[in-house]
Amino acid sequence: MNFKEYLNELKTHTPYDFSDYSDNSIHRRIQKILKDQDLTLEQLYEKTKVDKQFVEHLVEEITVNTTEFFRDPNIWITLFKKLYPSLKRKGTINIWHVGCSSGQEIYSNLIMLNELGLAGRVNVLATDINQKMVKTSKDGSYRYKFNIPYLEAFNKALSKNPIENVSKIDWEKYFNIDLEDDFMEVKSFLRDIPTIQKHDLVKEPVPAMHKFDVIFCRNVLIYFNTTLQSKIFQLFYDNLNNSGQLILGNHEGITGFFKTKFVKNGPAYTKNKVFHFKY
Amino acid sequence: MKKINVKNIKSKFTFRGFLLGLFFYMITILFGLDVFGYIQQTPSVFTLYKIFPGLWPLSFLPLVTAYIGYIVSNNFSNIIRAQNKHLKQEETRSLTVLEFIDNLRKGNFQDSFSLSESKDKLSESLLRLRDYLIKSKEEQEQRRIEEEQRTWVTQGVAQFGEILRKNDDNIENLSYNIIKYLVEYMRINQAGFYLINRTTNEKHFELTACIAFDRKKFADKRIEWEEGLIGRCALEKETIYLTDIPNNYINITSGLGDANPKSILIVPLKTNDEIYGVIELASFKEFQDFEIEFVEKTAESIALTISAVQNTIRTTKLLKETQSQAERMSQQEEELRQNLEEMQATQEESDRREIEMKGILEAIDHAAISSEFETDGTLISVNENFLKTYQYNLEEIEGQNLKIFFFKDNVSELDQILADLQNGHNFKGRVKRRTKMGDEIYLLTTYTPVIDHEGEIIKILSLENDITEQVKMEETLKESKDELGIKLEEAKKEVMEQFKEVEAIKIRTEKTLEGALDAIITMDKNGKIDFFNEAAEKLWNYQRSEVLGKNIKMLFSESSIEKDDFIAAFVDPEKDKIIGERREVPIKDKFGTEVAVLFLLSEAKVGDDHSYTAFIQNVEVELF
Repeated sequence: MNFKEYLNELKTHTPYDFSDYSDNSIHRRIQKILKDQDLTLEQLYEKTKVDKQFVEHLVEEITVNTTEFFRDPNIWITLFKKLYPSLKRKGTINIWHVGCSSGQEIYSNLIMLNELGLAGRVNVLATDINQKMVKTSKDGSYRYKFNIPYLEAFNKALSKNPIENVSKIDWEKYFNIDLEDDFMEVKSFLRDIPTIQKHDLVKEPVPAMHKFDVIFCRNVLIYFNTTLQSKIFQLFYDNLNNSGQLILGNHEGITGFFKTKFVKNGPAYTKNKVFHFKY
Repeated sequence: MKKINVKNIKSKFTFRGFLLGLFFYMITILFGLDVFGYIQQTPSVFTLYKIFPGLWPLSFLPLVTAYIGYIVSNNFSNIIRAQNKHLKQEETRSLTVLEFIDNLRKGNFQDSFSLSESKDKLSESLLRLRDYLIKSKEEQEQRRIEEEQRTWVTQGVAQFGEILRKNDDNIENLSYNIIKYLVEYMRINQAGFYLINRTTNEKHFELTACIAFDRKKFADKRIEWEEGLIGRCALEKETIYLTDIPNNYINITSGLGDANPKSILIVPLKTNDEIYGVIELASFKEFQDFEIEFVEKTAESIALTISAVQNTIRTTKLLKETQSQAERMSQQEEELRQNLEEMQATQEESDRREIEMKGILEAIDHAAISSEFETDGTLISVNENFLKTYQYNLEEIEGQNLKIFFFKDNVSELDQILADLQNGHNFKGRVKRRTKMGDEIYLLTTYTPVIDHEGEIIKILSLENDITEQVKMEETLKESKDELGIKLEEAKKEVMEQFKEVEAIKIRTEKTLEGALDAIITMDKNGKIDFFNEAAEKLWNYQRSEVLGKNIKMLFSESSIEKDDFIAAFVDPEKDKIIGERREVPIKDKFGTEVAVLFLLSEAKVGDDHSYTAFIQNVEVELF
């Protein structure tokens, strides 16, 4: 049995469809799981067929959940400088974090929005295919020593390049910090804002009745092949308001026909207002 | 020895002395009487006396001997008496000694003081013996007490050891059990266990357990490192024993009120010269040395146990930490792996794009004239096509500014272009440039600023197509066009003239037809009504404005369209019309009335265009 066959079987027997993920990446992930669990592909297949719990665990193992607070601080700053003017004018701001992982991106964004006085107007949806990550995001509880350098790096960048007079953020305002137990927890006023739920971008419909003003989808599409990428770009295009912004990872970009559907605006892609025939 | 009656001795001896004297007297008398034998005289004592005048004093002999005897016996009896006395004394003394010894045996040392007056050796040695025995007894007693105490201590220590061994690694429970035991075993009233807390930067004592009157007391007490007696004890690492307690130092409270203890014992819990805490004991009695010793002995074990328990707690904590560290490490490892995966996936994505890019770039390079320049116009790079078009060598171009390609009059354009580009606007349009030789060339140019992730413009990309040929052609075309234009004008004028003529003819014809008595209608090949004269208006009762431009079918009833083949052919653009024959057909007027008419159809064909004219006569004759 080869990987492709396995993925097809996975698609058939479980609600998860990884068959359009980028070949190399998904092979490496499955290879890792085989090694960790000391199984052959056939054994993995057998287990997948019968053990639902195992499948959930498998999904958790396959997904790559790297994320940090204020990843690439300069990009965040540029992003806010470009985003803020248009967001300021809106009554409600609808935001979707796709593949939110353990939640640092959500809270980074919320902290920044709060500093700019917009936190009261946001409607935040955050989704991830990994149930464990969803729980971690909801808990909002992180290791202090590991995460504080990222926060400090952001403050450093912010001090050189303030956004609307915000040049330094006081973390105590947003986190309950316990130095002895090496633990920091996002305060509940911030944690209560987002709706965080499990969602499969590939298979399930968008879990919202409205369109979005901002969609964050950083370093998710790199794991998909171009067909799937196009499908997702279309999905984003259909679910963005006019002039809505799509934010991808640093090394990601929009390919193919969608290049004209979006206009690059610094690190964000704005949905193009020009009417397009559907391809 | 029989008690010798002294008096008897005296009288006996006196009597015996008297007898002895008398005996000697008698004998003398007898002998003296014997003398008579010699002298032949009658023996008479009396004569004897006369003969022997010495007999006179001799007759006192018995008295003398009696007296001597008396003296001797007196002396004797004195001696005896003295001896007796002595003996009696000795006896008494012996008795005393015996009594003494007996008392000694029985252990009564006080009753023997009577001997202390004698100064003789036996007494002295007996006294010494007594003292020795007293001391011995005391020592024995002492030893017994000590033995008891030691046993008490040992037992206590052993039992205590049990308590220490049974601890469950909980310092609070341990400290409580320790002082509970001490309070019970030593029969004291109050005890407190102070543990040194070294976890914060300053050391201090915490009261971990406290008992008073058999009841566990709860007190939240914290004592600073060098504070009070506790502090002093820990600092000096020595036991403190107080019997003079200041009034409010410690309160042993009960339901009956407060009471001050009589003595306080504060013992440091130390081992290897390191202090772990302090025990404070308070009692209504005084503490004996052995009790203090006991506490000190146990103090070391306690300290050891505490040290061990604290170690265990620390070790457990470390173990947990190690475990959680191990967990964290494996988590971190997983994170690293995922980071790596992300990087690889990103890299692969980039690679895919690079290949796309490469293809595009090659195509561009091949097809177009491309160049890159800085925001101020300095050239960064150019391709082959560029060099060929502008007629420069690579060396000549390196580092040059874009303005060398502009004609002098047009240089200001460049400034405008650069300014626009810096504002992020693209430039697209036709431009005129100058080759090395000074020739004019025309290009269709796009300038696109390349923007990095932070929104900064890093360079401008120029793509151009040489359209000089086209431009030249355009100019030629333009000239031809101008010529043509003039010619066209003339032709137009002619046509206008002709058109006017045709119009005039058309109007004349229409006027003619207008005047006819018959109804005349004209339609095109599609059935659209073009002409509708006055007579037709009268016949159909329609105004011409209501029918012109509309379909011919409106002028007939549906049934007639179906049934009458002439009408059917007439209204149907596909069918061949019946030409040149006069036919009677029904028409339908505006009010729905069917009127019979005579229809004559003629056809006019101009090229593809058919036009049909119908001459219609009303059949009905007005009867007047």
